Amino acid sequence: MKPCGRLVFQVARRMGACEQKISSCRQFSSEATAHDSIKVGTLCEMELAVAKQLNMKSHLPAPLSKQMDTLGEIVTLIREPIAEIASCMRVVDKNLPNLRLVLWGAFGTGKTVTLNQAVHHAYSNKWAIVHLRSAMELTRRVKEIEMSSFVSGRINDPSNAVAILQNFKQQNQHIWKILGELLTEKDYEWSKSERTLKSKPITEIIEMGISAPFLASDCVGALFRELRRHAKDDKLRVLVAIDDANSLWGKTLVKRADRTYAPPSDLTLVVHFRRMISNDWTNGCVLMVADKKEVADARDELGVSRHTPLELFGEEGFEFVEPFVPIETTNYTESETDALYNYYVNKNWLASKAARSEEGRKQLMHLSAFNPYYYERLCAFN
Amino acid sequence: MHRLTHIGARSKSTLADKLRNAVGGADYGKSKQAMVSGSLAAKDENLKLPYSQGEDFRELYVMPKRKLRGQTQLEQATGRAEIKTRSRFDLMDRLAERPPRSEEMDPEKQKWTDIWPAARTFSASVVPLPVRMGSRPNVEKRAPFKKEGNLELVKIPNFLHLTPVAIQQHCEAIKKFCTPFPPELLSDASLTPSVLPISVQYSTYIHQGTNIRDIRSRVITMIVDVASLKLSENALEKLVRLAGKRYNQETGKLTIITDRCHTRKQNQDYAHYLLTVLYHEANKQEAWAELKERSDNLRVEFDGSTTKSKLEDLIEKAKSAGLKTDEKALAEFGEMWKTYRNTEETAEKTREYGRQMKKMLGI
Repeated sequence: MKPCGRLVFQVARRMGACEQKISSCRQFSSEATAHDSIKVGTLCEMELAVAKQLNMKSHLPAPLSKQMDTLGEIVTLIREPIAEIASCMRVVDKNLPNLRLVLWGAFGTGKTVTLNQAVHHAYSNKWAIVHLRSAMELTRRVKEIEMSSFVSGRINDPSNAVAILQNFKQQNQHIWKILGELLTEKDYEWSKSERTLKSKPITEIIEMGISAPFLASDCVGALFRELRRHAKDDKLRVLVAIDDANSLWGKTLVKRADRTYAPPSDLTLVVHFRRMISNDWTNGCVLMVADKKEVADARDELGVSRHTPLELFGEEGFEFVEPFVPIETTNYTESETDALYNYYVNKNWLASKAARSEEGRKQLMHLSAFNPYYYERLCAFN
Repeated sequence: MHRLTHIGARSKSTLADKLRNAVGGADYGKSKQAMVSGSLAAKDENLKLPYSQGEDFRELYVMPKRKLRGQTQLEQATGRAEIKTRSRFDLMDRLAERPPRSEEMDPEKQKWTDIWPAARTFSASVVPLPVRMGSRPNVEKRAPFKKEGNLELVKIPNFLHLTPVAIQQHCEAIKKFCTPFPPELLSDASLTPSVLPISVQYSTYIHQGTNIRDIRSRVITMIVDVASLKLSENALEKLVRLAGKRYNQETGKLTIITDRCHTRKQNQDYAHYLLTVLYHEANKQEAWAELKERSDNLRVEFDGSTTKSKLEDLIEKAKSAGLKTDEKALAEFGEMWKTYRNTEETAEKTREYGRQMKKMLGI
């Protein structure tokens, strides 16, 4: 009984220590000021209301959004890449062309999570947020298509366009008033009967697109155009966050009338997002994720695709996004796993005795090979 | 005797008597004498033939003067006669022939190279090896056929003329025609491409079979060090394009493999012909070659790229915005960019790209 008792004591002491440590280092986004919130190695909690506004449930990777439901809070680890992104976002200036950042890294190292952290950072700095869950949705998950009446040969995608507008509306509630004060540059004639006149708030464009899906694709273009213009005029700063951005230069599953696959440059939404990426506007930051799900083939068991930007964007895409700053996401370090381990133990998410022991801590660390995705998966089952 | 009682008609026959006597044994001559005289007397009395008073009837003797085969066999079986062994009829012929040469050989004193100086088919009498060849259903019961009269051994090619000693003798003999391999090349292999720019490789095949020829031995692989062709930049690019996969970018070697002719010699000539044609074709300058655009280049160049113009624009704007950037960084970045675009992309190269970019933008 004696060693057992000692173990319990140790665990209890350990837990106490953890609690102390966590409570000392965890920050709340509400109390954090804009630039001080980034401290590498700390846990950062997002308020649930904010997470709901930023639509984190659908934007975060599935395991993490499930964990958000289970634990009733969303806590992420502040790591090197988000600190880098934050420092880059600080440089953004109305005289400088928009800064383009490409997040790259192996599977499960936290590209999407970092992207969402950056979106949250933009939120707390009161930036406008253009967030695309996955560019692959624009090229491969197109439910319905319409031929564009604005440019012949372009293919509109009403359902995705409406989703983009709705998402934009939801994520930018914190600056909705400011957006309502920004006025359109010119008359937009959407159709014979529908039009948006000059000097109307740009939120009208969004409402127009949401209420009339057949106009939504053009509305997205107009909205982006207005956003770029107002960013240039220093009315607001814009963060464009595109997950799987290399899919904008990938292959599509949209068929044209002659049954050939349309190139991505024929898709209206893809064109609009590419314009958003191009650096002919100022006072903004474009954050892209290069993900290998575009090129990797699940049925190809032997091939190992690279996860580096040139390989994923292709020559055309790479030349388009250049110059950009590549930001690498890497596997955890030991101290990072420890921080998360302590958090999980503290939340009783790691429930079994074996997992709570020192031995268990090491096993979790090494079984996951320090890969954040696998670490989370292992912790969810112990 | 019992048998003979049945032959009533033949009981008086003389031939039957004779046979009876023959079975009887050695007193054949006497009984014959008696019988002959007795019978004649009886006859004389019975017949009273006119010639019976004269000389005796001279009986025609038809039987051989030797024992019958049945007689001798019986005697031999019962042990009364000796079994004579007789030598073979061709004994003398056999004695006249020489025993196999291999049996007379003394492996210590004999020079095998003298016995088997050149390639020839297997000869059982000459080769003093207890070789066996052939297939038997059960080898453990009965060994494969021995070498004498074994056609299988004759069919296969042999290399009995290529013993290490024979090869050594051969080398010794032709040594006076050879020059030593350059010792500088042996010590420093990196000199080889400049001194010996062309290397030719081919393979010779040895295997068990009825034919010593192999179709694969005709293939010639010629490896040329392209740098030693001293081509101009344009010509080199043309050669690289013409050679396609045969040119190795990393080592700068051109590999020509020819196998379309029947013999090795023909293929070697053809490889040299190809190299000549390639060289002269590469040196030609066609009118349409001047239409080449930037996108046709084999390598991506930094000068004139959209990236460079974008970067210059960016740096200018950054300067006007008050950020400190240096001109040298762009050139440095250009060098790195060239290698990044033209070589295989690795994670480390991407990190280097990020470092340089940040340095240049001053972030």
